[in-house]
Amino acid sequence: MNKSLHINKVLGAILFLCLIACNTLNAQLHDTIRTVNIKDYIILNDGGYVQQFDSIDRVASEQGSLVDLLGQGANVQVKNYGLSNLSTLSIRGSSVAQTNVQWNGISIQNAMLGLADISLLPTAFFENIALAYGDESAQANEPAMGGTLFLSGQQRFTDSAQHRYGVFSQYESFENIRLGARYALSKKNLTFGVKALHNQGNNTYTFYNPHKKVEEEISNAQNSQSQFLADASFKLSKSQKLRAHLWYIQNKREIPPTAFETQSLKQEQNTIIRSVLSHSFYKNRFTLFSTIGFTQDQFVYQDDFTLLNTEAQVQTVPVHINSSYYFNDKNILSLKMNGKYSSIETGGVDEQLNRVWSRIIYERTKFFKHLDVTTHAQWESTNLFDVPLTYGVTLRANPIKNINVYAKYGTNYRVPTLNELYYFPGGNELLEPENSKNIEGGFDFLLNVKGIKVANHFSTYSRQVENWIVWRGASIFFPSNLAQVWSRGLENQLKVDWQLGRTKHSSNILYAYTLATSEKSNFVGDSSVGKQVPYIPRYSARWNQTVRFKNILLQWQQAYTGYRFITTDETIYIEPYHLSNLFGQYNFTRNKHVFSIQLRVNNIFGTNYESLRGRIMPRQNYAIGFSWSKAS
Amino acid sequence: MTISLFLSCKKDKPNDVSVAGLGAIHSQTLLVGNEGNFGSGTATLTQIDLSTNASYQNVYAQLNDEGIGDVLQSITRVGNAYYLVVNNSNKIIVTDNKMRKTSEIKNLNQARFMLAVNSNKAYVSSIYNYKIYVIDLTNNTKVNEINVDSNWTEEMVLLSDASGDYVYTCNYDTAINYITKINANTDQVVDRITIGGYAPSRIVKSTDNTLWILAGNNFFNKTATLTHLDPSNNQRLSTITFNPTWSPEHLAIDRNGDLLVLVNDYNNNKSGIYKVPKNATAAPSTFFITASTGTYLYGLGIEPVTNDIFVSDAKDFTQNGTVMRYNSNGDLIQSWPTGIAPSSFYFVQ
Repeated sequence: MNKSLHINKVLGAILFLCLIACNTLNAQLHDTIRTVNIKDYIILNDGGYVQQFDSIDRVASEQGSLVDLLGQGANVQVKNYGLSNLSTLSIRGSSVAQTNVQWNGISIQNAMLGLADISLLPTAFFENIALAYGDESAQANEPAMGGTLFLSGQQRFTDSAQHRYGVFSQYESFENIRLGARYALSKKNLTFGVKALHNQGNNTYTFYNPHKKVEEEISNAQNSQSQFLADASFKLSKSQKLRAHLWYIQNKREIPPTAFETQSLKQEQNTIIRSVLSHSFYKNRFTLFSTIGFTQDQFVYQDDFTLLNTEAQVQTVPVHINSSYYFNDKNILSLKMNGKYSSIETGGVDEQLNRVWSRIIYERTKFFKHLDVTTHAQWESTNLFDVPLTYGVTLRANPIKNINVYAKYGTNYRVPTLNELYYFPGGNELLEPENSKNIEGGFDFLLNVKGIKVANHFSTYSRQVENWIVWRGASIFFPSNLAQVWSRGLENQLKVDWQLGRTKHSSNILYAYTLATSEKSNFVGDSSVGKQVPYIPRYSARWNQTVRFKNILLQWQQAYTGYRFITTDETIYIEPYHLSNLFGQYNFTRNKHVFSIQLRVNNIFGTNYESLRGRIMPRQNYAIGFSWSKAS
Repeated sequence: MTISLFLSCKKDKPNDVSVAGLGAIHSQTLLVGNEGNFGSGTATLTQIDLSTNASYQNVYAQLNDEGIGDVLQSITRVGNAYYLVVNNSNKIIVTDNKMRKTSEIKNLNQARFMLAVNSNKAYVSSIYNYKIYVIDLTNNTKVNEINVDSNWTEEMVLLSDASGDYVYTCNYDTAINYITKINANTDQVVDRITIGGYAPSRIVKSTDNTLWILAGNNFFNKTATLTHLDPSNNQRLSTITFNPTWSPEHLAIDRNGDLLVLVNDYNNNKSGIYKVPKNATAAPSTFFITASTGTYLYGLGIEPVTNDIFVSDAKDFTQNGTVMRYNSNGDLIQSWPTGIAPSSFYFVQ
């Protein structure tokens, strides 16, 4: 252990203990306990930037996947490997594996690859979608360096029995059809819901291939996807709830050739099962929230051209036990005990990664009247490598009316994925976790004057990551703890809502400036020092303008994605692009039946662009949709 | 933090990397094949004028207004034509002696190396196929396929004797401890000759018509070996075994008949080049050329006139690499920038 790390740990522990001691003593123990709402796993915020997606944000992508929602409505980088193909998420210049996706309390990152394919996450499956930017280690069950996407459904108990039904269908000009259905029942002590989706696509489109300078039609691009999701919750007593979730995904897709390949006979098939059982309990000042999950990802990759056939099965069993004690309405002490078993079976590889970690969190509100403080420390043990003690502190204040400010500091880490450890050939069992130090600050501005509602969030951050894992090689790829990356930048989200006559207007403007640079020479003659990490745009901006008039909604979407380098020395890049989309929706109600018709025109001006080098995306295309729902 | 970020703002549009024109191809030209980053279509060709030490990047694209494709594996010359074997684009680009494209050989599955067996015919090794392709060089088309025992074939050499012309091929398979002998006139496999190790990948011929074969794959626990073989009677003259932590990568033979073996240690990010005298009976204990930690030596060639050693450094495979020139004593003389992942050399004579 190096000296500075040791000093950091000691300082962190002292800071943490001082805060607990000081505030606990000061606490007014006779304070009335504030109404205890069991902290759900979705609305989490330890003071940083957590973006919630409301109905206006979601409307244009309600029948699509989170690729559309996040690509257009968030300050993130969505790497898209082609239409209906793998799409990954990167936040604040992080790698994909440094970003977590959490569903009903468990991480659904594939433990082998360290990623969640967001093209397999239908927007309609989740009533609650929130995106935490940056290190959310005080709250997320599996904290990630880059950020966490939180997903869950809505399970609300009602005094009387209520049934809700709905179906939707969508046709895309790529010769794709999507069908969805849902049913939900809510009663006084029971909720139950099922959602199903089927997607069948040819993904047919033509594009200009700049690498061959010819017009081409995409080939080997068909996909078929079926998903089923069931949620149930039971109110066992006034203070206890039990929840169960089951999610099944069957996905088969062909992988089209890149622009410089002549043909492709590649295809992959995923069979994914995810399940969660959770129990919540509160009594007096004590709450206990327990979650156990099981995930299984079966993956088959086949290339009839090269006669490659790879199969892998990954299983995880996460367990999270979160207990909190409310000293009063200002002081909360939480202890989180977590464990996760992960295993991989592929070819001759049969390996496991076992992790156990615990976190202690202390929250103090109204400290010196205006200051809220959250502090935490985490310890972890694994069967493979040493993991550093991490800690952090968040300060929030409301110094001026309408303005909240915050500042955060924390340390974090990412354990290597099973692929990084055991991929054959090339996996490196000597890998160590990536370590990060994160600092950020920002403010929220809220104003509501004469019907004009303004909400602005601004944040700026800096994150240093050491032991960043880099894959190198050609015929054999192998990972090493080579790089040190400094990510810093700023983000702003401005939402303005106003009414003009009988029309309602909403503007949502997002802007991100991201510098993610290599900070250390990894070898002699390394030209990557000070250069931007590949595929992280320095600049990106989004603007969604919505107008509503009676039952009609129109939304104009504008997006800019800046230059992205594909080499670590910034010598080769892909061009930036502007995308313009138009979405329209008309709703009408007959008795208790709600009908909706949607039309969406994407890439109106026919921009020819690459999401990744060699992956040419479609030019102008459209989708028409229809939905029906009924509530009783 | 915010202010410093604003002050350090970088403009969105990057500075274009200038390309310093084109040089003439002559008898002191070195062509360097840069594989590019796998899957990104960034293969390029670097031209180095060894008489002036000038280097020229992205030569093929400048001359032909198109990229090479994905993974430029090897370069071969037959007569006045150059053949650029583009592995992951499943093609071979044919150019004239000024690097202007004249033709393209298609439908080659993951081609690796090309060997001309005469002025009208060539063999092409490949991955993921139990085949060696036969190419008719008069019209640049695939005319035949030779079935072999492994789905990965690598380097080949041609030897002729009184009975005919024969191609000796490496079958890069950890279950195979032999090289395959093919009659280049009939395109038939005629023999399998046992060597001292498994997974042969590199082969060179000596001036005395003996063969040196580099084999091994340490990911599959097949230790690197160097076998000296007399193909006239299929006798193994010697077998040298290397340290099992090192993966064998490249083999070259110098003017004196001594061997150079490039090896890598993936887990520890180390590379080096052994020099094995032609009469050696054991592997050297030290490297002839040692790369600094993190350097990834990726290509090896010997300039036939000067006997100088050319070694490429692929760095992290996602940035431009370097070619280094050493004299026959192993002293660094010169280095040049290249494209991404330089791996193959062709010395124009």
